[in-house]
Amino acid sequence: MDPDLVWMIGGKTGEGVDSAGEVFAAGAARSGLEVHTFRLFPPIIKGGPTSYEVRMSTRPLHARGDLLDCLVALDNDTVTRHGPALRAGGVLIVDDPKVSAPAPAGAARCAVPLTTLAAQAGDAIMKNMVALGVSARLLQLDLESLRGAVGKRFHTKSRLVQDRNVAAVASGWEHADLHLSDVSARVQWNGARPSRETAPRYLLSGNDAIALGALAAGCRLYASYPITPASDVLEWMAAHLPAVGGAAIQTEDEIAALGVVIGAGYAGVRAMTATSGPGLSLMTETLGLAGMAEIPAVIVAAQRPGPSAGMPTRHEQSDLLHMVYAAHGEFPRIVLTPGTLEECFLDTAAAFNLAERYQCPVIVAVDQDLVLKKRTAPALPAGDVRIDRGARLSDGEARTSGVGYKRYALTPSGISPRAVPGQPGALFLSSGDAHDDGGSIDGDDPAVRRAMVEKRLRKTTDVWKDLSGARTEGGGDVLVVALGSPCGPIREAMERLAREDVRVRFLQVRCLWPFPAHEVGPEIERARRIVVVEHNATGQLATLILTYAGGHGKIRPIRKYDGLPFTPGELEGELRALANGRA
Amino acid sequence: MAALTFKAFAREKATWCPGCGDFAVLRALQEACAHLDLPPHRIVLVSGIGCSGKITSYFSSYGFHVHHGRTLPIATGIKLANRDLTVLAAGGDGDGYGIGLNHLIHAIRRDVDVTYVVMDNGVYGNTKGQTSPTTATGFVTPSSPSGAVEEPVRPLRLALAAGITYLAQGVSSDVPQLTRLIEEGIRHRGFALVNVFSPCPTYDHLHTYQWWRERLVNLDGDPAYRPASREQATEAVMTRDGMIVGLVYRAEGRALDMRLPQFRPTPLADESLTPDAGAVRRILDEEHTP
Repeated sequence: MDPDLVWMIGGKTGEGVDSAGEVFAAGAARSGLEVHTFRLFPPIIKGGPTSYEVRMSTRPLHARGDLLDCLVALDNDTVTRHGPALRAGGVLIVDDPKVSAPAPAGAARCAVPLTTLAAQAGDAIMKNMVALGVSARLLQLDLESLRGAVGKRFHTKSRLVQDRNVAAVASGWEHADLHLSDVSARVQWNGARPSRETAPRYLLSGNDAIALGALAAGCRLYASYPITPASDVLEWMAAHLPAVGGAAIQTEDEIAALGVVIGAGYAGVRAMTATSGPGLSLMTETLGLAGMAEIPAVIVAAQRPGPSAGMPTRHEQSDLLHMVYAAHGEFPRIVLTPGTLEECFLDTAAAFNLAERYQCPVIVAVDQDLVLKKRTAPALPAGDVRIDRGARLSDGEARTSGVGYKRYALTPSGISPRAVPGQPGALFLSSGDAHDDGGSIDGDDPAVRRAMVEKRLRKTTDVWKDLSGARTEGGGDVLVVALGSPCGPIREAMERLAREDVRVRFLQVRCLWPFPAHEVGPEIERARRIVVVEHNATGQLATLILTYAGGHGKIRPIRKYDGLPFTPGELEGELRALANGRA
Repeated sequence: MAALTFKAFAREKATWCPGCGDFAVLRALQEACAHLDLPPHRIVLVSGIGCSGKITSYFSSYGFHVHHGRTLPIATGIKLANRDLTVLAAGGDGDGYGIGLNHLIHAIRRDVDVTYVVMDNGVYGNTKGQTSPTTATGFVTPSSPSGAVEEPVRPLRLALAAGITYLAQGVSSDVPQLTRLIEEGIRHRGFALVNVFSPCPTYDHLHTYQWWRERLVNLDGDPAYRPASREQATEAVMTRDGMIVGLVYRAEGRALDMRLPQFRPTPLADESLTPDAGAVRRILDEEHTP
């Protein structure tokens, strides 16, 4: 079994927990380890309980760990909250004497004067960096890699700040070297050393991958309203779109955000917004306008627990049906469901092609865990991105068709070649009101109404030529179905079971709407038992499966809706029992 | 001498009620575009919901008839996508000062280069006469049977307070003046609001063309009035309770697209896109290498 260590630092927001976690993750990745992070943070900017978990291994990681090997506690509360997750034989590092809490049974307690050592290195605020030095020494991680990560983190700061932080890390390392050598054996790296030559090249979040996918696909305008966990995309776009001549606009609300995106889409520019549940709720009416007026729009929706403001900093998948059905009336839409970093990148890029080809809104449905956690990746498949602007009128065609141009022409595919404003000749009217094929509103002919409804709805019947709705792996007669971030822990649980020759089959839903019944149905039919794993209380994915693919009497739900993502261990036991016919 | 006449901007025959003030607004908009010699295909008119929102069906240009109250965000997206186009927005008082008021303040703040014409009739005509945000206190409608109890929204005061760079008010009984006000609004490189008293003869028998004519003070005819003066504009909108027509205020526009120095001479909409794998790799190398 490959070596696998899980380290966590916890304290209060404002104590540098996040930056310590980021630096530690970067240091581990620089040393050649695969990294997978997990943050727990409160909706309190200063003084709330926060933690940053870094899981490290020499093999690619799909999920957070089940237990902790090493916990750094900057306050007593961290020991109370996360101490129980320390494995037997794990190590608790506490800031002495501030943190008095004892270690949980079976764990070693290392009392280190983190604040004092930091003050000696120049500033007590750097206790987080001292903790990193102690941790790296105990876990026998590469000090040079960690120093490099510290330097990169503070490279915009003054030389003094950089030097002090490096000194703080070194002081922690030396302290551990002198006083804690007996403890280090408990958690030390006991497998092959990672190689810096084969090191994973990048460390990035789902939000980063989404933003990069949009850029690769030619997104030039971005409009959104800040909202956790999607704000990173706004900040990323604000930093990077100007370099390609584009712009990010922070609008007054999400209604305006999608409005700007639709205006740009109507005018022929690729545009996107990203939001979470509350924002998507506000966008709902505008989503219908995109459906009715057949305007391309890309909406990234990163779910968090609802309803209402819900739990802004936590995780859930309870907006699945909202994304499928949101807005009054009936119109086609596409809802993509990436589950990995690579899929976040490629699906976002593909969303622009689909939106323009099918002239409809495309939602990239993601979740808090998927977009916030950082993972190492060898690269992103940038070379796989293609650009297809869909059926467009050339200027010559626009000029020729003139007033006879029918923007909503009734074609066999339902897709009508579109002109954009500025083209000579094809002056058309788009409307959220029901309209005929020429765009004229106020008609009441039942045959026209029926024809236009059917025209819009048949646009996406052929979408499967451009899109795969499901991804399957594994074997056996137990079928696990999921989408989004649970795919990671499911894959790890499957790997663990495979070592015991226990096999399950996994179907990752890759497109939630149109529902890929042709791909899911046969799998459902074939399976003896079906497990639908999802982060909501009412079984929204299961509802779609039952409605469109069947499975009555065979589906067993695994649902988690406490705000936290699954760990592999939470799924492993149940899958084993099912595969062995014991459940 | 302009080559175009207002007829170049005629689409379908308008179905507004006979005597509706919106006919005059449509005509003034058409005349203004003709005076400016704007080819119809270089114009986008975005309209909202309500009687006034139907103007896109009657005005020949690229038209986008959107959902209720959201003309300005959509017009903003269009202008950013193609800054070479003339972008107009039009709607009623319910659309602009009720459901969509938030967007008006922010369009002003952004100074987005859009000319926004509000057909202000003080009632919800399309739903048969209920009160609107600009209904006068005490006015009886089906939704205010004892008279409206609320104070009306005062769009000129709001717009001036929000920092607007072009503010005008017209009335449907004076098409030549309204034409000039819209024309100057289109020329203005920034956000222009033209509020128009546009009588609803079907649901408001009090505020007739005659009623407005007797009460409105024309700032354009006052040699002492300087629209560049914020003090005079403030005094005019505060002391006369909005009962004015003409160019109220004009400052130098700072259009949003001009404030984005990264915008290239070619509008975004005319750019041909190719996949940019190089940019992805460069950003990954620069920012996502641990």
